[in-house]
Amino acid sequence: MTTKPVAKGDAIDFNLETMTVEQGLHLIEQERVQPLLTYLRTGVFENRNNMTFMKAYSVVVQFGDQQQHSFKLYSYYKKVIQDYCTEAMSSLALVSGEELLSALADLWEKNTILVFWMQRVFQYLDRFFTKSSTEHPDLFKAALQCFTDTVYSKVKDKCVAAMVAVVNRERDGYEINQDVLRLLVEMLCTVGDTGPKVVKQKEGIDKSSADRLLWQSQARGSYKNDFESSLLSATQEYYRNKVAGWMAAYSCPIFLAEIQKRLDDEESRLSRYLDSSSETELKRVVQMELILNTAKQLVEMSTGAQSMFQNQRYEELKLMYRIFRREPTMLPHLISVMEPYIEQRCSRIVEDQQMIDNPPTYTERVLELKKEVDDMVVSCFESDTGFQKGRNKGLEAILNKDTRCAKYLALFSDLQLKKGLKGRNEDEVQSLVNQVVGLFAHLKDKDIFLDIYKSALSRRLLNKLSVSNDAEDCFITKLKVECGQQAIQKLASMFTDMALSDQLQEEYMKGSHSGSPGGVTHEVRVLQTNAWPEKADDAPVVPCQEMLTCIRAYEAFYHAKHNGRKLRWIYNMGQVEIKCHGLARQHLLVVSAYQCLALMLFNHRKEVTLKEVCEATKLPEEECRRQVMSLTVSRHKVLMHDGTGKDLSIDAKLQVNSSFTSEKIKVQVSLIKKEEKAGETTALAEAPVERKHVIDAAIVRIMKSRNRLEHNALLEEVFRQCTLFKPQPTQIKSQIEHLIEREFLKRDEKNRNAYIYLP
Amino acid sequence: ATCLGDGDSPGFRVHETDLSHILPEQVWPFFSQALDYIYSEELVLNDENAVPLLRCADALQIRSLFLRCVEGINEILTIPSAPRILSDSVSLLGGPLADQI
Repeated sequence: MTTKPVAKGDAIDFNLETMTVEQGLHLIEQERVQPLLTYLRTGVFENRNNMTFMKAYSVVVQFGDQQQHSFKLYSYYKKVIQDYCTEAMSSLALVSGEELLSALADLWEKNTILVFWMQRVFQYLDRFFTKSSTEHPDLFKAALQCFTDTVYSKVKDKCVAAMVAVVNRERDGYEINQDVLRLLVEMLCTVGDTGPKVVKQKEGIDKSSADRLLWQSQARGSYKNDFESSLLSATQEYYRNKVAGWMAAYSCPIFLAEIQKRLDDEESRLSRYLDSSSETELKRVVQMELILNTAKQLVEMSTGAQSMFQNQRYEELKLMYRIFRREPTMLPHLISVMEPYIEQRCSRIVEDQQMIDNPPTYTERVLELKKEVDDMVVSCFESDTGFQKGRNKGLEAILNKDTRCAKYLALFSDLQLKKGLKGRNEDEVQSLVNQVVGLFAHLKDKDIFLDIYKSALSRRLLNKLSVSNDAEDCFITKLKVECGQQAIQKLASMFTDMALSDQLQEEYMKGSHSGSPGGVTHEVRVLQTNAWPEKADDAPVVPCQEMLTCIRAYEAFYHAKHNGRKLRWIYNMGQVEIKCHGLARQHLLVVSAYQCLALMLFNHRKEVTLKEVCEATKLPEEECRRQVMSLTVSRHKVLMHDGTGKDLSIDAKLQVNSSFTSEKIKVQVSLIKKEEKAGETTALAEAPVERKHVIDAAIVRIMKSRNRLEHNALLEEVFRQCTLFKPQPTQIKSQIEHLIEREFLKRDEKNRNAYIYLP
Repeated sequence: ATCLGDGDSPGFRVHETDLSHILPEQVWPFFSQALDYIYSEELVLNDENAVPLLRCADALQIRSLFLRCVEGINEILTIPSAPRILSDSVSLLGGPLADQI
């Protein structure tokens, strides 16, 4: 290897063997330290990547192994930093406020650079010298110590006060120098650290971006103790004053917007220059002043939550919710306004006499309201569970005041399934069913709904009134989800019966008579007892000969398939089409089965009295009169009677109106409605009876498994089991008495408050 | 040339901690990176430092740095970086060393 002639300042001929430590330090001073200090003063770093680094390092390695020399090196290292800090302090002591902050930040930044480069040259000392010494901390720590003692401890109080003031200035909307604050926060976080370190970090993500030197520290001691506590109390005071002013000047929506702005501002401050460890505490203080201390008043302001609900200011409500959500204990304030609002909206519908008189509109309006508040809970309150509960409470409080909603909803469903859904596509059906079942979920009288639904369904199925089977299916599926398999079992078996009957009918048609024994084509539906609301006739009605033939043929067919099953006929559920020849022209009359029986009598005789009809058919007189009278009214005057006026006396003589004619060949004869709207009242009366049985069954079931139970525990259990309605405690109590009488239960001898099951 | 101290240094002698005689001059600016690698294993190779560091590792017999450089040069060898690496190789590395890349 040859030695080249040295360039100026690049390589100095020196002999480490003979060099003294003083000479070595002189070299380091000349080649490294002075250029570095010049750089810090002027920004020009002549020897930055200079080759002299290698030599300076070599010097340190040469002397770093010998105790007496390494101490000199170490002292020199400290002195350079100490001198730098001391000199800077002389000018720092003269300034204050923001000027102090920027000077201090500048000093911190430069000192960091100085320490980094110094440590690189002297790092060999950390290998052995500082490691084996207890009194000499490692190079970084020693440097930080110098800074702390010389600078930080002297300006600490002034600095913290000025920083807090600057933060408040920024809160007031002034531009501040964030870089200064960021550097000072770094300083506060580092000072006092026992294992600090300066590292090089890329400023950007990009590989080619410039390096930045910064202290890596976990300490945060001074940040927390000296600065943060001071910042927090200043923050509290700042916002307390602000809020007092806003409260007087602002309306609720503007107030909310201001709060949101401030919250965002504080959040950005955390990410811009404060240490992330302050997040929890700062948020706590800010939110206490801005939310906890204002929420109740905000809600109650005249422009507050109530007016927002009334005027449907959803954006404002959304904002209020978003703000309150940060302090979830404040949400109930808002919910407690929403509840009465929903109640009020609901009452406006269900207490309106016009609505009460018009069930479909009533239901439509309630469904609309339900959709409206559902949407509101989703869009404004992000489906928050508290708000869902509040909405449910509000709706249910009003809707469950009586059973009207349950009834009307069932009637509405019937109407929709008979007419309303005609021609709608699948999605429309789905959404309507969802709405109806959604409302159904709120009702406590679910059994009443199901009862009415059941009889309506039976009518739809038997009379083929349903618009679509898919829609029916959809309803049943959704109801099943809502109230369980148990509750809709009967509804489901009605569908099964229909399907089975269709199959049977098909087979029956294949018989020798092709489904028309005695020339009468007929269709039969076999219904399970109990599953259907229809009951077989109590009176032993006598069918006419033609009907009897059909009945026998079908029974023979059915019994051949299902031995041991008994068929009972519900005559009047059916419809009969009869061909009439005795009229002005030939007509097809569509009449009820009972009417058919009455008309058939005229095949044998010209004149028949009502009394005779009753006797021949064994129909009860009242029903018989209604059926026959329907044939004598002016719209379908098929029969004439000799009485005066409309009323039909028992002895009135009837004969066929030979001049009857109608535009259509096929004439649908409608029945006179039964007097007093029986449908509604019976449905009302029926439910409670059924409820008694449900309660009885529940009590017995519970007691059978528990054997002995106290009164209150039993009540609890019964409430849990009765999902379709809410039983009254008095009702349960009377059922218990009833069961004791019937010796299902007895009272405990020792504790009269408890019951024992009697097997 | 400047003289150190009081100027009576007794002449030139090679000493083991004086690296200036072991490493060629072009390598000196990259010595601090080699040192960083020794202390911290941190190293970002580019077309500028790769060959000098390889030379440095060879001279100082730092096997792991040597291998890192060999691998690294293979990775960063692209059309734009090739001239620089080639010229460095010619001026810094002897025949046998250049062959290894």
